[in-house]
Amino acid sequence: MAEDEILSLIKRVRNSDEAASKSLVERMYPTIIRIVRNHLPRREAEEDLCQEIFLKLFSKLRQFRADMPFEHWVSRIAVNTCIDHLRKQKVRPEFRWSDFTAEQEAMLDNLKNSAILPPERSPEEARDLIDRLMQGLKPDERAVINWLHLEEKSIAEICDLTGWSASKVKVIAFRGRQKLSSIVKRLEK
Amino acid sequence: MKDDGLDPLFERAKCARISPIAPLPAGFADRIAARYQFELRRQKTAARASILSVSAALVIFAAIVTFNLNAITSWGADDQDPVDYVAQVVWDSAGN
Repeated sequence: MAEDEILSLIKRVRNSDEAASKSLVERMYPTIIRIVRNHLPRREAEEDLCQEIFLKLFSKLRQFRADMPFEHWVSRIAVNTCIDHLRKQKVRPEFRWSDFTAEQEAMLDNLKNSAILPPERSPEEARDLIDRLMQGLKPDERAVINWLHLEEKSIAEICDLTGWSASKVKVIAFRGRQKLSSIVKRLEK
Repeated sequence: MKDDGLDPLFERAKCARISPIAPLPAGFADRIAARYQFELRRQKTAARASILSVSAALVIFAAIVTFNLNAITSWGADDQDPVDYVAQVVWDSAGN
């Protein structure tokens, strides 16, 4: 859908057109659910969070000035809502060696010793291990590490997505990665 | 941070299969649209109620001000000293 079509849809939503509201939800759902999934590794309360983001989006719709693509504007709302949600949870788990699967323990062993992962290690297990370790990071650090190192987004793309400055993104990424590294180092059998 | 040893883990995790995005749950768009419409109606009602209460407050204020102005303007006539009044009744203008 072109930006012009989205703008006309927004205009109709602002005039309380219920059908246009539904179309906008259908249009923006894939963008929002992707962001929600990346922030909630355990898939908890996915739909509730999506609903919260959409309601926030609609209530702020009059503030949208069309000075950036609508999708970027929506992404910022979604990212900030997810980060707020994670902040409220305040979960800072203590990691124990026994919490990990045998495959993950082997990966951690590899990382601690040689920093080389044998090719037979499963990507899904690696992803799950990173998700678990990242629970020890602050929500914004988790988000930036995810974008930068897993989704391979550039600093500029992250700035567009969040509205943060490049230097802020770099500092958050540096701190997050340092913390992640120290979590791995602190883990003992 | 390239010497922290995490790069191989990230590289491997990037190859993980990404589960496909689930389609929009049934009735989700309707629920959101309905809640938004409800919220709009609630805001309109709240705005109307606040306009009404401000108007009522203004009417009461205007009534109080008018009452006080009337009281101030008629103060000279009504608040005549009763001693003067009795003197006027008892004595004539010549002082008899």
